[in-house]
Amino acid sequence: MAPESEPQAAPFEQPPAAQGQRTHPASAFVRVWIWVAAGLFAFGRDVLEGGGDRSLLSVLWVGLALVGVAALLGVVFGYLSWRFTRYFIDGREIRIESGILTRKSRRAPYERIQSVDIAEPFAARIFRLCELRIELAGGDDSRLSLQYLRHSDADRLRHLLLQRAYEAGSQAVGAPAPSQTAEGEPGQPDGGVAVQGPHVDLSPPILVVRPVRLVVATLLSAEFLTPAAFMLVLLVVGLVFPGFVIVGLLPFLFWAGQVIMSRVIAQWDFTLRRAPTGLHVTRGLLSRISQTIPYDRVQAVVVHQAALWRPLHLERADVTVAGASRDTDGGGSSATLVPVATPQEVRMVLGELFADVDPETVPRARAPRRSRLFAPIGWRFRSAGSDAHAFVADRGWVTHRTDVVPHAKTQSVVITQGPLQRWRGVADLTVHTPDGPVEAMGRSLASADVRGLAEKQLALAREAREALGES
Amino acid sequence: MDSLFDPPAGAWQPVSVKLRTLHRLMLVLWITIPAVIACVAVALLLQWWWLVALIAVAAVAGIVWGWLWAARNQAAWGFAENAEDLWVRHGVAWRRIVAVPYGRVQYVDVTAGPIERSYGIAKVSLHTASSNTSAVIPGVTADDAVRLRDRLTELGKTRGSGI
Repeated sequence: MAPESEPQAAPFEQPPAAQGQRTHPASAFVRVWIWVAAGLFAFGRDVLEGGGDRSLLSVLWVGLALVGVAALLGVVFGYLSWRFTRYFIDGREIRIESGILTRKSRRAPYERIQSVDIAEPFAARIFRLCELRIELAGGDDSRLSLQYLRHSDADRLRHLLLQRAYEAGSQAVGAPAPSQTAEGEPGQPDGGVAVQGPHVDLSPPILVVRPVRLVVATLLSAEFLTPAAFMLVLLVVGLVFPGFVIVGLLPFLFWAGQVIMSRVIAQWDFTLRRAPTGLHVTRGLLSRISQTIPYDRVQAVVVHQAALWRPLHLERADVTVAGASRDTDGGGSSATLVPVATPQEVRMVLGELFADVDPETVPRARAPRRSRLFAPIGWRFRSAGSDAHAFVADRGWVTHRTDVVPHAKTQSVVITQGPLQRWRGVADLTVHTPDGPVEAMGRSLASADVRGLAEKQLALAREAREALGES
Repeated sequence: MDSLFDPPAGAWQPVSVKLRTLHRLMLVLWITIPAVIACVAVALLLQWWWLVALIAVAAVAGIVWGWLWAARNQAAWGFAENAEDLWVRHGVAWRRIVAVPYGRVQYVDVTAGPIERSYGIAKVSLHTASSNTSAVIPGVTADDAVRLRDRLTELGKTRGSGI
């Protein structure tokens, strides 16, 4: 059975039991909704294709039967997969064995653990359960997930795994916090959806994004206004020529919905805390995500400022983390460092990640006036430069972006120049970082500046690497 | 302004002229065969002799242009092994110059297809943690390619630093 949640019992500390441990029994029911949805879908198709020669009652009976069978199948399948899933913790690794017919065994040696996060998918939240995600170094398929555990168990398991990973010498995991003394208790029925899980560290948050600000900022962002403008145009056209509008409206509705999902729902109640190994993020309205942005794996940061955000003094920041899994829970929202905040707050968070780096004070080479051929308005916003700590590149007019790359994270430097650019005496300079949202690119800068900047960048990057190697 | 694409020190190491020959061979094959097929098809089916002539003229023009392009393109490739970084430049109209610190090289690939092998040349690609780096040197003689790979791997090991 599932481990009981007495804080002192610590069942994971025991020598590995031969039969391993099971996840929480209610896990069997968490995924039933997928089957019910499939049943409803089948019912919908049946109604559409069945023609009109059936009575309403028979249609309803068919629907009830379909959904009922689907739900039953879901429960049976869920029970079986819960029954056949066990996890083992021994001296070297955590191992998860699952599969009803085809047995599957996945193992995570402690020294390869990069991070241990707790996620609360919506369906699991209903059952007050959560998912433990173990990220491993290297490879695409490098995530183990335990579905689903009680909060207190997940918390204890996370703590234990992080400690073992640290002892096993995992590079990414720092010394664990001394002890999590003040643990909340998940059993308190709180009613509201925004229940804070007990695994949220109780260190005071360094940044909290209020939902009002999140909603207002999203409504004013270019990502939302673009589909909204298209929809408005279509609606106006629809008043004149009714008919085709509904079909045309659908993709834009999806687009706007996607933006709202990734910018509002996924970032709801965004809270940033300082943890020993990195910045700890908790966010999400329906699914609560709890993740860590490890300090030593952060490569670069990009700060966005939409045109309408400027008068409100708001900014957004994304981060490139080395080896971050291509996790698409809502349009890459896992790369978000700050969904929306004032410039001072963004600078404060930036200071948490890179000491001494302050993009405001970095001297920049601006794009010359002759480059306005390539960006009639945007050329005024283009610049790049570096100081002793970081390379900074600005560009963008409607949405202004500032890319910040600390020198030690520079991968390579590239200069490109097309024929028109050669005619105007300008060139592009890019500092490469590992794949992510950051693209530090100085566009159409004066040729005379570019070569010097590139060579200076290589020298600074080398110094930074050497300084890092010595310390 | 031209100093933008100058070598970091000394001169660029050129790539093999066999790259030019290879490009020309590929070009002639890729233009002649479809052009001949098109000409024969038009002559047999439509008998529009003006179209046959047009295709032939276009193919010849393409080959002449490509012949000249291959020479300029080959001449534009160059690499330089600095004390700390490898520089690669290429392109005639659209120029690109990339500098990769040895410490950032994760691995080096040497690839050579059957035709490249028959010419005794190979392509050396450098990979860093960023997929945008794309530092590729085509048309390096096989000996040079192996030497370059070993040297880069060695330097990458000694100067390597974590991501």
